[in-house]
Amino acid sequence: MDSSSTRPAPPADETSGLDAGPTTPEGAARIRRMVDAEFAVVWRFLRGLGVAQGSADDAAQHVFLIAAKRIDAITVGSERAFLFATARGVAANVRRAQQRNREVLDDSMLAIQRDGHADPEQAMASKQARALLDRFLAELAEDVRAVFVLFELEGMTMAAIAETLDLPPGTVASRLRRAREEFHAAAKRLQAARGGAR
Amino acid sequence: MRDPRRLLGGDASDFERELLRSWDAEQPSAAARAKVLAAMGIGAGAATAAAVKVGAAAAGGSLAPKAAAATLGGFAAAKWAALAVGVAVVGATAGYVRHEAHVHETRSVMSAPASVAAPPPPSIAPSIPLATAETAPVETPVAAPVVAVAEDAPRARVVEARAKAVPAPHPSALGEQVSALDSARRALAAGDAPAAVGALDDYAVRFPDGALVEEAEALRVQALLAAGDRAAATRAGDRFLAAHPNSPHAARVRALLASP
Repeated sequence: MDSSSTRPAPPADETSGLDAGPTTPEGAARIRRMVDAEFAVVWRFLRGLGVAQGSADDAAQHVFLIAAKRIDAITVGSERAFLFATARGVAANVRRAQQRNREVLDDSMLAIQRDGHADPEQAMASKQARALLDRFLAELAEDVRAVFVLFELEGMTMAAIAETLDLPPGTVASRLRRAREEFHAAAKRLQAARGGAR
Repeated sequence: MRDPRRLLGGDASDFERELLRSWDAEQPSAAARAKVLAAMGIGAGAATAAAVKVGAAAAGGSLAPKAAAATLGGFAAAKWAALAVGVAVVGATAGYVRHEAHVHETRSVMSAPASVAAPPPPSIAPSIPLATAETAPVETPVAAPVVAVAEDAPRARVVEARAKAVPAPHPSALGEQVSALDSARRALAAGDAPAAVGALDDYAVRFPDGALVEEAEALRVQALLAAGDRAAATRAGDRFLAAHPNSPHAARVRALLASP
């Protein structure tokens, strides 16, 4: 990759004032390809970063609209890096909004409460598991969380994560180690709590 | 860099696996992606915006029909895509495109001029929660002339073929495709994997050449795994990867197959 490339880290708040987007068919075709190839993974990344299900579509849309505005500044080959950097900014904003509106926060607690009354013999409903996973993810620092989501949940390679998040490989590895330690600890705690609730 | 084994494939307790596997149901709806394209004036559902912008950027003329055709080629995930087919060109220089959340609302937008005056929101944050389906339309900032052009190789043939004949796929057929996949996804999210597989079977029978076939087949792998039928999931996954090695869903299918 060209080292003089525009390393995208568009703070989500600062992009709204930009005036021009792609002025060429090439730019439009590029953004189109980005949507086709990356929409689902960006959407899930946002979910992994704590964007509630009901907000994920809109958050993903914002990410791609920002990319559309900046398409001419995005270096070929670093499209995914741009999208993920943007997604992190957008997710941070959404999380703040969700904290302000606590009712959005979160499907998870409701799900836990509902499923808490489920038949104790029944295997834990996937919804409840998902809610518990959310609780664990919410405890992680954002930078650690991003690595955990991409490696453990999305199945990306460490090298791809390093490139996508613009991190040295060693940093990816250390964040993953930290995330795993916290995951094991959280799982013990959550499992105990779940057992106690039954 | 040598990757460690993923927790799902290695040292996770049963409970931890349960947590990690709950992620499998995460998937955007097909309509969400179509909405993005439409909001940008590209492809599905945004014939007005696309045509306007093509007109503005390319001085009208020959690109316009191509843009309309591109919306056809781009309906990959669109409940509302078909609604856009054949929509008339409206002249305007749009810096903003009105983005609506509802399908039927979109229809009315497409018949209106695409120029909408509203300043960009001061920041991204406040506008996101507003942009839900239940709220008023949101003015979404969009890059100025976005031009819809069919460059994706797989789509080119479709575009070419359809540019001549123009008959749009029947709107209800597209809607049905999206609905079929949505019901599979809902079943999966609800933990009813067999129902999800059933919905995907239904999709495969009804839409053997459907626009969402890759998505459907990737989902099938996930549903079969969730149903505990690893052998069938492996077969479906192998088939998928052989047929679509470069699909955006391929990485996910590989990860699914690698999970224990």
